[in-house]
Amino acid sequence: MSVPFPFTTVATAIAFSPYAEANLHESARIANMLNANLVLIHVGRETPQKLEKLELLISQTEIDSKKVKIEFREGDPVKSILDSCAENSVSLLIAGAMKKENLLKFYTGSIARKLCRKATCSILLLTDRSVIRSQCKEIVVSGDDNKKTESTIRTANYFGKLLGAKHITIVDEIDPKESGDLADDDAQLEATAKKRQELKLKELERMKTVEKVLEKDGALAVNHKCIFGKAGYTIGHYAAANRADLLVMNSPDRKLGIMDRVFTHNLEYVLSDLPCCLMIVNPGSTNVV
Amino acid sequence: MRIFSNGLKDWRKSWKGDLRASISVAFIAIPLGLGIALASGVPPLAGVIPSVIGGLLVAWFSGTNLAVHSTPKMLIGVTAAAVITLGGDNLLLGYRLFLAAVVVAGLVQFLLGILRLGVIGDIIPASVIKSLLAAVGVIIIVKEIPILIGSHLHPKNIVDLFMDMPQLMADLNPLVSFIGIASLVIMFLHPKFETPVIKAIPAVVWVILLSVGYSYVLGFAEGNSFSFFSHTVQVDAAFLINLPSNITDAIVFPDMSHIGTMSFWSIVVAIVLISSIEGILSTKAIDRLDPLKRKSNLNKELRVAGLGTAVSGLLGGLPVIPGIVPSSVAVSHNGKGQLIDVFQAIIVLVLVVALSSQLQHIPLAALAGILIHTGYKLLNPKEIANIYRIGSDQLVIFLITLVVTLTSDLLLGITCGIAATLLIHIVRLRSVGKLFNILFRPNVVSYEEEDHHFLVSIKGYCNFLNYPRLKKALDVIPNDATINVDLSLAEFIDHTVLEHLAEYEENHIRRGGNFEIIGMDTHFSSTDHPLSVRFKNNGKKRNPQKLTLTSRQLKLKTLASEFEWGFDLSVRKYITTFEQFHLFKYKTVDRVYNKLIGSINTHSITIQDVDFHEGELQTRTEWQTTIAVIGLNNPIPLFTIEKENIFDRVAAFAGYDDIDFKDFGKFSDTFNLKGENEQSIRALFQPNLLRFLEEEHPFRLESTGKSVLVLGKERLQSEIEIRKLVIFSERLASFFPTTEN
Repeated sequence: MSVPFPFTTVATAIAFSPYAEANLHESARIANMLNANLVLIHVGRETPQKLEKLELLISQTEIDSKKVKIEFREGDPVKSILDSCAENSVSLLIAGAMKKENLLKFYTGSIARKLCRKATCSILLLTDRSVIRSQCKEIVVSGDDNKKTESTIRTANYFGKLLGAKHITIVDEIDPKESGDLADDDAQLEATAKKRQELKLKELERMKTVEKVLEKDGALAVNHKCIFGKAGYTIGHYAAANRADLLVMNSPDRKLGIMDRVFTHNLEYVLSDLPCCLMIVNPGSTNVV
Repeated sequence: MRIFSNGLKDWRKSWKGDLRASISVAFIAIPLGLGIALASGVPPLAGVIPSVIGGLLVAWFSGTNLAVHSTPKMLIGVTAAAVITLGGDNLLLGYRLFLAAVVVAGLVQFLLGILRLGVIGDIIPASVIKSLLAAVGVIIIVKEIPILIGSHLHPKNIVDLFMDMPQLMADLNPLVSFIGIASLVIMFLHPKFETPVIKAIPAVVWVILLSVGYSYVLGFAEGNSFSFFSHTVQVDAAFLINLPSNITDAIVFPDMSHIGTMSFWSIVVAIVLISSIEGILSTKAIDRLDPLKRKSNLNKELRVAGLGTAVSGLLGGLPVIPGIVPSSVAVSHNGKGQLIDVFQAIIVLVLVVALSSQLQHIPLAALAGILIHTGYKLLNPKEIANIYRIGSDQLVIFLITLVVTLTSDLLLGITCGIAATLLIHIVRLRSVGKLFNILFRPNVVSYEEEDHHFLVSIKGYCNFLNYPRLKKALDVIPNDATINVDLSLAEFIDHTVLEHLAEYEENHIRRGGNFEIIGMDTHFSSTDHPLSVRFKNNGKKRNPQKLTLTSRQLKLKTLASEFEWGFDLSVRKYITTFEQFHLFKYKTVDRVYNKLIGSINTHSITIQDVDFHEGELQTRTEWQTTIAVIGLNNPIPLFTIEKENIFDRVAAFAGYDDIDFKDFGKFSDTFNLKGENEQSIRALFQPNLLRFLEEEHPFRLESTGKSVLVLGKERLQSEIEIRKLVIFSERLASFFPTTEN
């Protein structure tokens, strides 16, 4: 299976606001860390003033300006950004999450959400609690039973090493229904507990193959957590409860639409209430099913 | 479906005890059944049929382990109203139409059980349920007072009762009210008697024996008149229970002709709702009585009792539920299994057939005495005071439900109670949209932190609507496990959830597990009751609210007094004492609270909850944990010991190497021990200390020379974990030199 790392080209959308400036700095640092090129996408008409301003901004960041490419695009922001990503074979798109006013909750803006749903490259959603600015200690990665999982975990491991993390936690979400979640009386409870134990062992067995691959990559210490709960929600809550710094998840198996927001599931749970920085790993633009 | 959920294998051992117990049970079941039926305005034997059906049919498949089935008393008001609504002046027709509703309700309940909707009674706010119980209590008392004093008036509600009081008093029959009031007095005073002879026979049986004797002596059945001074007092059969001379006449068949009407279905809904609620309440109560600590299967019980109800309705009886009164009599007479239910049904049947002419002599007033006592127990005036202490919001919900139920009906009462609760929550949440979110979003994560230790984390808003999710997470945790419910991410927890959690705590500990709630100590609440609504302040302007003691704090208080330690609840901010530790080099302590101050060996120790954060503004990450600091009276070398995977990489003694011990591979692998003076550290870490640490593997230890910081876990710790922390610190300190040495 292909893995998206090492990320060769990093992109971010750029506007002219204090927040966007911070975003630029972040992206530059990440690109530097990954030793990648940086594509700055501005959705709007190209003018000499804008270009000059952007160049000035870039010169203030730590990245070598030779590695930066500026793209001006007009039209629908989401489409423009995605097109630009495809044309520049971007492997990691960085986007910022907004903070909801008054509430200490991160709320993913509609553009960032759409990007997460539609992008064919990997995405890093930065919350205010940036992984880069502070030390990254706790990385939580999804260990779903999905063919993408292996490359997602490897990416988390790769990223974790770059960020100086000591270990990663693989969270395996198991559908409680699958385990039999009946516990009306003691006999049922016992049967459920037994079934759950079996499932856990099975999951750990499955993880062993992933671990072997990780070992070759030079793995960080790996923790396993098998949690019985709703897919997508559980991992987000776990990340919040354990104050994770970075959550790494698989890209959605299909494009998500409006109905997925109404009947929230998987990724949408995390997007609507970001517990920390989120990385959505897409193993390669051609691999999307 | 398995017959006898706990198996038949033990019946040989227990059948004698069960038979003895069932005699007492049967003697209680008959008068209770008769009384409930009479109060419901249906023929008296309709209330006995459920006991018979319950034992002969339901018991074999029951989801409970020692429940004895009987008639729901909470349905008295519903039944009485339904008979009149359906039948108008024709009481027999009304009764038969009502029986049709009972049959349908039984089938609906069976379906609910199949769909595993036993939780339906759990998502009704706790205060609404309490209010319903109280309302039924009032309904029973109001209905029975005129009968108790032998009046012919029938005031409809509590207002009528007070309005009619003068006429009632004028209509009072001294001979009837004597036995009525005497019955009431016996009911209330019986538990106070310690004399074995009196205690051996249940109060209800005393009442029946004495009152039947009284009615024989005064000749109630034949009719008799007595003159007191110039006043003549009549007694006749109208003051006695009226049973059909032929027992088969009691069997009346339902009339399904109203099945298409709205009123029919609203009665069905009321029966299903009320009998499920009462069934669940009593099943839970019976489980608490079970000396073998078994857990009942609520859904199975719902199914089986539903079928029982349908059969009972077909034969002219009221619904069937597991009854708390007969069941507790069974337990107190050493009954052990469902065989009691079978035996009591047979005995009830035999007694009713054999003694029907004697039963005819039971004065209605005596039954009224028994029922008023039951009504008083349901009303439970102490509980009302308790609700006020929980919070005025709960009292409002309680009163709204009570008033609506009494002036209208139970269904509307429940609806209004739930609406009032929702309204109060909307005001608290300041948003309607969030309620929608609460309904459809998961908010609970439960996982095994280590073997048999579960952490159940609740996020955001947690109220009666999403309680089933929490319930599900808690239900699947094995009985002997340690459960810590972490509420530090929860913004709002309502009274219903807290009450359920308290119930879980009790049951789980009873079954041999540990259960604690952590992370709620800094939530706000409006009263000082441990079960009152808790919420986070979010830094908004609000009325100053008191911080009140949570169950964890109460436990810590007990712990402190046990050890004769000090316990300081106050929240202190801007604390700098932790700055000496490397752990806090890049962290700021926001506040400390729940401080335990004591001594171990000759050293001092403080254990406190610490909220701290790392980074500022955008990079801020907040933590809550419990930290012990041992103050040493003799200096030891500086060192840090940290476990792999600790929540932080601390820049502790940067540049120094990890000190390893050749003979202690496990210690060297698990921990990073660092310090400036390797020689003196090696001198301190003698083999027995290393062995101790290998066994206990704490998260982090840090010595500043004069004090040692002990961190057990990365989160707030439960009381049991704090006890472990104390024991650990005590043993750890014993390895350090004291002044005496």
